[in-house]
Amino acid sequence: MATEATAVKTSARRKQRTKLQETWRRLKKNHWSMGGLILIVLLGLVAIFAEQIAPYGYNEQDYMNMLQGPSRQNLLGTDNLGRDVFSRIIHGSRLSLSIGFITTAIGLSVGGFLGALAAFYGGRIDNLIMRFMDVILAIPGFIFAIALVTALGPSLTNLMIAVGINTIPYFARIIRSSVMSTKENEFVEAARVIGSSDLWIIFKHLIPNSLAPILVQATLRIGDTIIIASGLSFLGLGAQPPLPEWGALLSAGRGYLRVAWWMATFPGIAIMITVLAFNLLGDGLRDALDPRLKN
Amino acid sequence: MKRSHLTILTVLLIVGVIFATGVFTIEAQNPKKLIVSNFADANSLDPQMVSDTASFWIQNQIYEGLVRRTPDMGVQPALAEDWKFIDDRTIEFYLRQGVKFHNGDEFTAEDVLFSYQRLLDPEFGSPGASRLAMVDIDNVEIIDDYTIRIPTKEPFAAVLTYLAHSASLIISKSGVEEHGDAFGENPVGTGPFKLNNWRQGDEVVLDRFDDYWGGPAEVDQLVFRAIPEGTSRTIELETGGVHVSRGIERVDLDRVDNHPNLVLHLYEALRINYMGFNHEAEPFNDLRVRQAIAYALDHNEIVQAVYGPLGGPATGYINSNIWAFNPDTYLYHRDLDRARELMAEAGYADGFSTKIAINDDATRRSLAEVVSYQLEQLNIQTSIEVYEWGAYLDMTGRGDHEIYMLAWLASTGDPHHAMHPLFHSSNKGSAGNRQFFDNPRVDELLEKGMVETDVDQRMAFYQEAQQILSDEVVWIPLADDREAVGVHVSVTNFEPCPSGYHMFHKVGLE
Amino acid sequence: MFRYIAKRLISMVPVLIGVTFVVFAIMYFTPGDPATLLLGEEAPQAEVERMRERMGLNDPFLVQYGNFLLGLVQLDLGLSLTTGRPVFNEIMNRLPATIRLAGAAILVAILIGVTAGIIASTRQYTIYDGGAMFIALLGVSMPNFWLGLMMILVFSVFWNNTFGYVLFPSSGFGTLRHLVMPAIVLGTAHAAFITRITRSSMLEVLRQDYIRTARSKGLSNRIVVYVHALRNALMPVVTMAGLRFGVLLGGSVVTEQIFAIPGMGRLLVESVRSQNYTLVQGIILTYAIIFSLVNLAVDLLYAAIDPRIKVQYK
Repeated sequence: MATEATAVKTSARRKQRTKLQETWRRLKKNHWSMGGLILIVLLGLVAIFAEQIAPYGYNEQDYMNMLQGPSRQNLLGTDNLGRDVFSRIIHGSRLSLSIGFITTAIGLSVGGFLGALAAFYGGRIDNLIMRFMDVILAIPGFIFAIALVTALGPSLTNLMIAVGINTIPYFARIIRSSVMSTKENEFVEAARVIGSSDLWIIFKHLIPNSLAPILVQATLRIGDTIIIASGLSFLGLGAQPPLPEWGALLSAGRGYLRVAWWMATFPGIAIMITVLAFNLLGDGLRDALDPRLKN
Repeated sequence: MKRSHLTILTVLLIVGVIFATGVFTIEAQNPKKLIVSNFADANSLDPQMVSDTASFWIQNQIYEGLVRRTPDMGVQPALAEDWKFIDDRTIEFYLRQGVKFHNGDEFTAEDVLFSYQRLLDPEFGSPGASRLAMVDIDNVEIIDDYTIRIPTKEPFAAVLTYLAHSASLIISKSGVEEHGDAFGENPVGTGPFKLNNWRQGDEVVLDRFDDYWGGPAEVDQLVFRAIPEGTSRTIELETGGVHVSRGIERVDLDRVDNHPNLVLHLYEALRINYMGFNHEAEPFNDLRVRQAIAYALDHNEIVQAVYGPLGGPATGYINSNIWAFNPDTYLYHRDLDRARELMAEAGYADGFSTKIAINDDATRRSLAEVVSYQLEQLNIQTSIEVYEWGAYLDMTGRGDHEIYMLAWLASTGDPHHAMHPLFHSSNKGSAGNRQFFDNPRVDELLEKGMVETDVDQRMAFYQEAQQILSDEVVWIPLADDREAVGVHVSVTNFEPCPSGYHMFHKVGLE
Repeated sequence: MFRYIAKRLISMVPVLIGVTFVVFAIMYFTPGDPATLLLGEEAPQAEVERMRERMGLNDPFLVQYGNFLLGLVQLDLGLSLTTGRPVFNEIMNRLPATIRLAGAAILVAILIGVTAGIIASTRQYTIYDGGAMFIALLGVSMPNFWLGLMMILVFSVFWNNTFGYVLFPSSGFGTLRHLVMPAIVLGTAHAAFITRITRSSMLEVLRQDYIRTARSKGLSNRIVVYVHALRNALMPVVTMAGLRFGVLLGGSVVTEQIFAIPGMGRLLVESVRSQNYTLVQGIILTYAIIFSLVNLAVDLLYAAIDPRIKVQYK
């Protein structure tokens, strides 16, 4: 009996693997998405090697050189304390990328867990969890995040928590519906028969089988969370000085719009490129995983 | 199905038309409409309901006090024509006769008593109550309609300057009785302008009050527009959207100054910016650490980098424009060797880490960034924590802070106001002494200064206190604020007032 | 139909009660003492304590929440801590500007989005299609506050420097000229989103049998596209746009901030800054109600058109 279950499981695994391979094959054909993927890799490299790439430290002040326009010394100009805008943006890539990944990870893990729980047990637990998700979704996300950051106090960590909490319902819903549809599969039955615990089944079988929609959702969410987070920083509710978070840079640049347009312009372009990269990849993934949608 | 889609389209179209027409409003071109930009909208037009400068500025056009400040910070008659000290704690005021409120009622001593009673009523809970806390309200005596005696609980030298404060503006008794809780939206005062219309969050439109006792104002209408963003204020000024703009920011000073149609007024405000320490927290309870920090900072550099022309390096413990200022106190300048020595003596040769708390304000952010950068030289690692204003006051009042940045505006211009709340040990915490400083000699000097009526004597007390504060490096003075007002050339007779409450009665428009 | 509306309305109630609880709890645990705020920075401790008692701040959490709900039923959301005016009145004062802004933005989004979507779908794989899709992608990837600053830079600052006047004013509210930039800034992301859905929805519909039939009957392409296909393709667009309305509301907060529009979003940010927690509470609740109502409207629209729902609730 045990061997039978294993056999079913491996075949499911194999199916999974070939599906991923098939997805990758299709994704590779989509130039736009590959462009997005390459951009993401590049941005990751910039973040990792920020110290080496940036010509100056992110808080290196030079009061003799304030609000200077782009030049050979300062590629993208300097800010109100004479700091190099280019260096600040390079260093800021670390913050923005980690915000995107960490918030999505929070949403994915908590939301995924809650969604799987709801789907697996159904009934009252399902009802309770999903109604609570409805409540969160009834408050416009950005506004809910403002309320959370107000309560927690403005800081980078709290910003990530607030935005992370915001994304929980999306993942909970997706994983719930995905688990719902797979939990009746024979290999789950088989696992149950051999006496696997509920948690084991959820983590080992149900969540991996919902990987495809999760992947798409996560990729698209990262872009969204970067925009929401930078918006909060723009309002002064996120990363605090002297941290060069892109939204905070933009916000600081706002007061100098007329004398130093570069202060607000370039951080915005950085945000846009990053979000664009994730959106390109996400779109491509969605099409690759579900060819029916590809027109 | 077809029809329903047509319906949707029609609805959309109608909505579109409504929007299009709704937003077309024809701006009436009144030749004598003076438009002023303010930092924010008024919170209320009831002077006893607010404590913010944006509200007070507008209220000062609508109401008057018994006395008011002159541009050189003296005191001059307003609703009181004259006054006399009966004894060292009682003043008799002789009120102006024939003064009308905006509702047509006559101004009498009853209104004065009513205003002060309401302000000081604990049940009413006015944020301005502490301004007149020295008044012995139960024993105020109305002699006749135009004579009133106001006693203080103890002899109090600066009582007139407090009566000139915006919290002490006189409101109409009948007006409050008529409007009740809605008085803040239906203000009734005696000032040269009365309320026409208030679009909350946007603008307050005042009309000239023709029966004003000092003669009608020069302009027909005075509009205060709320424009919180500094750059937008300047753009509006340059493009003719407003005639007078307070709070021109540093980046815009040159533009306004060089603009052919604009005049820039720079004036000394009565505010001092400082960086405070919590004296009850390690390691700032050690004088040597405070001295080391004083030696580590380059004062001129900080002021130059952050304030530019909008601040002068502060060299003492009260704003240098307050008459009791002692110029020879805070004489620290950057000396890193001396600073390192002191740090070593205090046992912090390797530095330490600490937090700089600030509230959410662009200038303070820059200040904190510069200070933090300069303190790295002593290996003092700082993290900057930004709080919302309420949480900030709460936190610093409780003593949960280490280094913090604040400013103190002594709007009465009196040294008692400038020093007592900040340095007297009875005011530790949220009452103003947020560094939790405790020095018996300073307490004694501040108490003496409060009751002494001889100006030279008061000066001596306050100057000695400032010397002690400096020896103790109670906090690091950073900058004395200057404020910039941009004014269009068509505006005549504009004169800035150090309190920031520039008056528009005599201001005209060509 | 009436039963359907009633059912949908009733189903909103528990969610909104949940919202009140979540919002109230968040604000309850927010640091900062409202009584101190109300009385100002120089108020003596005894007075603060008296004010706390008067405001009911010393009551246990559930009592305070109960009182809040009781007030809510009577449209009493408490008093603003900075102005002392009823929160309800404060919100009603600011609501029109927000609604006007959001309405204008939706209008911009629908006009641009639907048009671009149709163009892209009818000329699939042409330069129009690729161009529209790429611009739409940029549109959803762009932070709206950045777009706002860039528009101010171009149409207020550079324009003024070059031509000596401001094309669109950078702050204020009231005239159509004031509304142009904010509406575009707020509408852009939504327009981009609508473009993408319209395109895919149109492509889906254009492949359906009845469209082929219509074409084979010899109807002109224009009629087929604009009358038959668009009609059916628009429904998913409306649904999705409704669901995403929350994003637009969130965006309006920043937009109002940038253009100094006296709406609810600016009031929210001001209130957060001054820890005016009664007002923050009321505003968030109002946003949630607006969002729910918009989705209700979308559902009703759908129900009015979809015969299946009509039959179900006859």
